[in-house]
Order: sequence, then C-alpha cells, then structure tokens
Amino acid sequence: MSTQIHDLGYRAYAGERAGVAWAVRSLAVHSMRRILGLKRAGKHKIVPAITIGFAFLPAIVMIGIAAFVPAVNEFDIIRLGDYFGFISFALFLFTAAAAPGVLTTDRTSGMLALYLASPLNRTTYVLAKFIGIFSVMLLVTVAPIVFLQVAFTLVGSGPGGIVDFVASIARAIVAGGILAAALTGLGMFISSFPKRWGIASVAIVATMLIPIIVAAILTEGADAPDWVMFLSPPDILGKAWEHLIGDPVNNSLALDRLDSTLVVLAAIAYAAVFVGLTWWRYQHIEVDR
Amino acid sequence: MTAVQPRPTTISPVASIPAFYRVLLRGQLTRGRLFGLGVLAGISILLMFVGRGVATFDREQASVQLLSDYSIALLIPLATLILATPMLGNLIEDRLLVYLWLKPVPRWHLAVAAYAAVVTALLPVVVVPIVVSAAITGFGGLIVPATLAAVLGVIAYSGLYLFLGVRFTWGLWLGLLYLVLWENVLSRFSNGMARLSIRSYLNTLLEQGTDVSIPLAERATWSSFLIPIAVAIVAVALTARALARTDIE
Amino acid sequence: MTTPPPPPSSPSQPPPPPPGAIAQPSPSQLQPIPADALVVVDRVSKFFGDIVAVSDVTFAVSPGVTALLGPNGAGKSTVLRMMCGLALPSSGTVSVMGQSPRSNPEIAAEIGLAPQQESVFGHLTALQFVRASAELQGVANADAEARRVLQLVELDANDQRFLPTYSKGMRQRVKLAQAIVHEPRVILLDEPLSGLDPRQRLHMVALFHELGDQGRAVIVSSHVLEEVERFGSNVVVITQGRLAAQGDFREIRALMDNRPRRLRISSDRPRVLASALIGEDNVSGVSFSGDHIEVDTNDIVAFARAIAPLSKRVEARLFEVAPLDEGLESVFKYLVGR
Repeated sequence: MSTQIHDLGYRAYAGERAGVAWAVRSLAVHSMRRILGLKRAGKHKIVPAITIGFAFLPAIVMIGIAAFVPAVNEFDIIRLGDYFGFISFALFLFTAAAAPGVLTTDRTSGMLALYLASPLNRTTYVLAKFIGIFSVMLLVTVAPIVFLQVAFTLVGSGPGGIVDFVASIARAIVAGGILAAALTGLGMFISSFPKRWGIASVAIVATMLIPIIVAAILTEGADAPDWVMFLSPPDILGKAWEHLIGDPVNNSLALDRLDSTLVVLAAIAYAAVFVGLTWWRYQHIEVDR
Repeated sequence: MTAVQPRPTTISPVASIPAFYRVLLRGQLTRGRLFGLGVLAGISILLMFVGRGVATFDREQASVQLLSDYSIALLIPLATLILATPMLGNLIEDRLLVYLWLKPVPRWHLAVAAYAAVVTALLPVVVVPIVVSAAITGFGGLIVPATLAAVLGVIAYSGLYLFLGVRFTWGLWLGLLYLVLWENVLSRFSNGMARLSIRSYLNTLLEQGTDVSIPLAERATWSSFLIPIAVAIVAVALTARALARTDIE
Repeated sequence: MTTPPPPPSSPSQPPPPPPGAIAQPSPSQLQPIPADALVVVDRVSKFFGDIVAVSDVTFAVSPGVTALLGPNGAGKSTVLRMMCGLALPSSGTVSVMGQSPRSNPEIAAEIGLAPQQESVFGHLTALQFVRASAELQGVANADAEARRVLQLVELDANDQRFLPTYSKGMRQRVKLAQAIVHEPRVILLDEPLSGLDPRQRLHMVALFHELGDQGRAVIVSSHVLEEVERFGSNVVVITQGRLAAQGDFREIRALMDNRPRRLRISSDRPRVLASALIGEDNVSGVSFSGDHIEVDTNDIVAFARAIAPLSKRVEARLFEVAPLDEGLESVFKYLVGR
C-alpha cells in the first residue's frame, strides 16, 4: 500500500439526489411524527392519545357488549351508523390539535421560509402537509371502524361471508377517507390564517359546532327547508359517512330526509373545496421570516 | 452574608394592578380576535331574529332553548377561550412574562389584573349581544336571567381558562376538551358529571328565572349564583400560585 | 443616574449549622464573601429532568462590572435567571442583598434584567414599554424617568412606532432601558451588545462602567471574548454548568502554571537565537512564524532573566519580546478545553 496524504478539503455532493418526491415524503413523515408526538417528550403524546383513545372507546364498548351479551345483537341496539355521532367530538378535537400544530408553528418559527427555500414549493409543501395530516386522521376516521368490523367478525356478530367482510372494510375505508380528507382540508384552511395555534384550534372547533347548532335551530325550530342542512359541513360529512358505511340513521330529521347520493356528492365536494382553498391560501400567504 | 440592605419598596395593588391591566388589555384586543368575537356575537343576534320570525307554539320555550343552545353553550365559552387562555399564555409562549413577573409585587397582583382584563373585555362582547338576543325574542321575562347567566358565565369561564392558559402549554386545547367533551357530551349522562359543568349552573339560572324547563338545569338556585363565583376565585388563586411556582423563561 | 449610598462595612458571618447537621464548608470558609457583595450564589445546581444545567456553582458579585463568561450552552443564562429569581435552584441558594429573589418579590426593585430573547410586546412603543416598567417598579414620575433612560440609550422617546418594527439593536437598547429605569443595585444583562453597531457598543460599554462605578453590580453574560475584555477584567467563567474560574482574568492566567507561556521574539538573527533557546531548560518549544520566533516556556520568570544574556552571548539583537497568550481568549480556551 502506498503512502498518500489525501487533500479532502471542501467537496460538493455529487451523488444522486432524491428529488421533490422524497422531500414531500420526508415532510409528510415529519408532520405525522409531530402530530402523534413521536420522537418527542411524553407530554406531546397526551393530546393525540386522548383523542385517539376516545375515537376507539365506543368500539371497545360495543365489542364488549357484543361479546358478553350476544342477545343484545338481536335487538339491533348497537348500530354502526351511530358511530360518527359517538366520536364526532373526538374528530373535532383531533383536527383542532393536528392541523394547527403542524402549520401555524411553521409560520411562527420561520420554518416555512426554509421549506420554501428547499426543493419544495408552495404546492408541494401543501401536498406534504396534507398527506401527513390525512394519514394520521385515518387513525380516527377509518381505524376504529375497521377494528370494530374485525372484532365483530371474531365474536360472531360481524358480516356473514368473506365477500361481505371485505365489502364492509372497503366501505369503512372509503367513508373514513372522505371524512378524513374533508376534516384535513378544513383544518388546514383555517390554520393558514392565524399565527397562534390556539386561535386556529378554537376557530376549527367553532366552525364544526356552530353550523350544527345553527342548522338544527333553523330546520327543526324555524321550519327552514331541508336543503339548509347542506350548509352545515359537519352534518353533511357525518351523514355521508353513514350512507357510505351502509347504515344510515333515520331520526326523521331534516338531515335524514336528504337524498343520499346528493349528500355523498356534497361531502366529496366539501373535501375538494377545503383542500382547494388551502392550496389557494398558501399561494398567497406572505412568508415574512 | 452581605450587609447591604435593599431599599424598602411597597407598591400597593391600587398602583400595580391598573398598570398590569393596561399592558395586558392592550395586547389582547387584536383585529383578528375582535373579528372572531364579533362573528360569534352576530350569530347569536341573527339566530334570535330568525327564531322570532317563526310562528311557534311555545315562543317562551323556544326562546329560552335557543339562548341556551347557542349563547350559553357556545358564545360564552368560545369567546372566553379566545381571550382568557392567551392572556398570560401567550406571554409565556413568547417569553415576555419576565417583564411583568420580575416586579416587586406579589404574584396575585398580576393574576388579578389579567383576570380583570379578560372580564372587562368580555363583558361587553358577550353580555350585550345576549341581552339584545333576549330582547329580540319578545319574551320580556328572559332578559334578566339571560343577563345574569351571561355575567356569571363570563366570570366563571374567564377564571378557569385563564388558569389553564398559565398552567398548561396546551391550555387552550384543554379548554376546548372541557367545552366539547365535558359540557356537551359527558354532563348529559349523569347529574354528578353535570355538577362539574359551568353550563349547567347557567342553564339553571335561565330555567329558574323564566320558569321554562330546559335540559342540564338541575342545579340548586343558590349554587347557580355561588359556584361560578367560587370557580373564578379558586381559578385566580391557582393562577397566582402557578405564577409564583413556575420557572419563568 | 444617582449614586446609591455605600454599604456599611461589617464582616459577614455564616450562620452556625443546625444541631446534628454535617458541617459543609461554606463559601466564606473556602473564599471569604466580600462585605460589599450584592449577589451571592452558594453551591447552586439546576437540573431539568436528567439534564444538569448548572452544577455546584459558588461565587459572589460585588459592585462593578462582572462578566459571566462561557461557551454556548454552558449554563450562563440559567445562572442569570436564578440570580433574579426567575428559576428556582434545584439545590443551593441565591441571595440578592441578603434576600432570596425567588421567595421575596420585593427584592425585584433592586434587580434589573435585560433578557436574551428578542421578543417584545407588539402593541407598545418604546416609551410605553419603559414607562410601564417604571410604573410597576413604583418609580415616581415614571414618564420622565422613562424618557431619561431612553435618551441615555440613544433612543427617541417620541417614536410612535411599535416595538416589533425596531431593529435588533434598538430592541437591545429598549431592554436595557427598562432594566435600569428604576435604578436597581443589581443589573443583569444577557448578551447585551448583540445587534449593536461598533459605536453603539462603545457607548453601551461606557454606560456599563458608569453604572458599575456608581456602586451597582453589573453582571454581563456573554460568549464574545472581544466584548468581555472591554467590560473589565473581572470574570466568572462557567463551562458545562460548572464554575471554571473567577476573578481577574489576568490573575487567572497567572494561576495557570501548568500551561506554558507563549512569547513572540523579534530578532535580527532569529535562527541563531532559536538554536540557543532550544538548549535552555525552561524552554519547552520553539517555532518560527514568519520572521519571528514563538517560544513556549514553563517558567516565565526564569526565561525573562535568561533571554537578555543569551541574546548577548549569540550576538543577536532583540527587537521585541511580547506575550501571546495573556489575553482572555487564551484563558478561555484553557478553561473551556479542560
């Protein structure tokens, strides 16, 4: 072996670069970790743990009842269609924690400017954040139902055959996916305005709760026409979920009288509009740090 | 130990609390927050106009229910969340609390000033729309109970949310959790849980004052007056304690 | 600014330990606490969970300018925060003029702090901010005093702009103004010259000295050695959370007797002189730097006696014999690198 002195000095990276797709993937994974408090101190896991726990809690209770009191199944006391109503507050709170946590902090800390100085542009930044938040939202919109269907099947209360089982899982994924997309878009759009994550959280919850109450007052108290319910995104999203799951609840309210196809289309439209508004907002947002 | 003695300094609360109050109040009334509060208040009045236009069998019942479902259930707690939690919480987050904390006054002066700033900012924003809403219904017997419920609601929620903002980094989200989960879901399941819901005391005031039966109104009349005030006193005391014990950045 | 009255001179005695307690050597037994000490930090430690931010630090600060020196993350800001009561020590005690700043809020009247963070109140002008600080300190004529200190730090009291529009240097000066408006005896400044231009730095350093000359303890935290050398020679060096050294940094250098001194020698016959120096017992190394010789010696006194006769013996003329590592940088590198 010959003796040499290697002049290392400064060397530019000449290797392969992973490109924008890898940047999007990295940012999405980072956002997911941040929402779930992964690789952070234990206190950052409390909020996601509470909300995810509440999202699964009705499923655990329902499975327990079905397993230990089989007779209750004959009376159809437990309905899959009721599930959204049970966990809607957990969904609102989870959205109110997730979206502001990964968006407002980027603007206040100056990270948004750094991201935009990377291969990411405004569109791919929004895409990455959407993927990250959406993926985690599936934990509360899809996972509990899939868990419920699997557990029901194991205790003998689930769908009859393999085809029905697969169909039920597919319905849960589609229904939960649309719901997750809409909540993610709404959460991201609202979070794109205030710089304080707390204000964004309040605004998200207010945007969920107020239309529900106002629409109920108008249709049930003021005899407004049923189509007024289309102006309440949380109601439409919940109803669309029931229809897609295949177990719509009918309490003879205005929401229950709406055409199911229109409700599903409206939910998809809401998801598209919220995501589109978020994209539009980030094209115009001023990056001052 | 050193023999150098400090100058005697006594700053009365009459001097310090207004000084704290001016600094705190100015910082909270931003355009965004005022807009949000205005929207919340405007919805309250709008709903009452709509309700008034409906020919309903029991106007008094509908009026009280409407006030309870929106103004009591949402307007008061959401408006308070917007102002109370960030009052000191934002100063902690921005590392500005040091400029108010490192002063030769007991910590309770700062806690009381912050609470006063929240309440005085909220009272006109919340009570006025609620009184107007009650007046719009045409049910004269609703105005006084609604005013009372609004004032006591602001008093109670302000203390609670001020404390959450100081004690916890996620204080505002915890406030939302209390509002959404406890007050709107769990307190409906049992009377025991409802005792921990401020809303139940405010609903009781509405029910007792109007003789109109509404849900979540099973509290005793005397407790509906005293508990919101007690919540505020305890919360402000806990806020002062938290300010005295926490490390300041 | 008015000059505070001089402290009465009386020896300070540590309190006797309680019965049954193990007698620990107090700072006064290890090193007497100066009678005029305004701040005493006694075996202070601070833990954040498993992280030891400050470990068993003991020092006293008298009137004058004292530099709190250390690399980034050494624990300087944590020590400063404990000195004004913002943070509670995990163990040990901090006293300001004989009182705990944590449990006695009244002592805040004698403490002025300009913290490191740049954040400011978004809804206040400079005058409003300093005046509010004065009011909360119980200063009579708060408005007049606020204007006076703003002028002292070369800011316009009539500027109607809100603080977030200020440059970094202007914010630094506003922070300093609110720290001194109530004429405290103890002034703590965390990185106070950051963001200031050279002329402003000179003005601020002069102000610090003026405050120190008035009998106030001005404690300046910094990791910029060129700044610290201007504050004066009194330093407290903290590294990795521990007290590395305290006192006059030149005297600290003199105590570093296990480290060779380095000198630069200019001569008309450098190589001849270098050859002769290598043979000396007290010379541990010789190197060339351009036309100069750099010599490391373990015994500066013996070397100083020997260099002149040796130069004469080899017929070399000496133009310069200058120490290269007497400055603060040398002291700092040694203490931090240990």
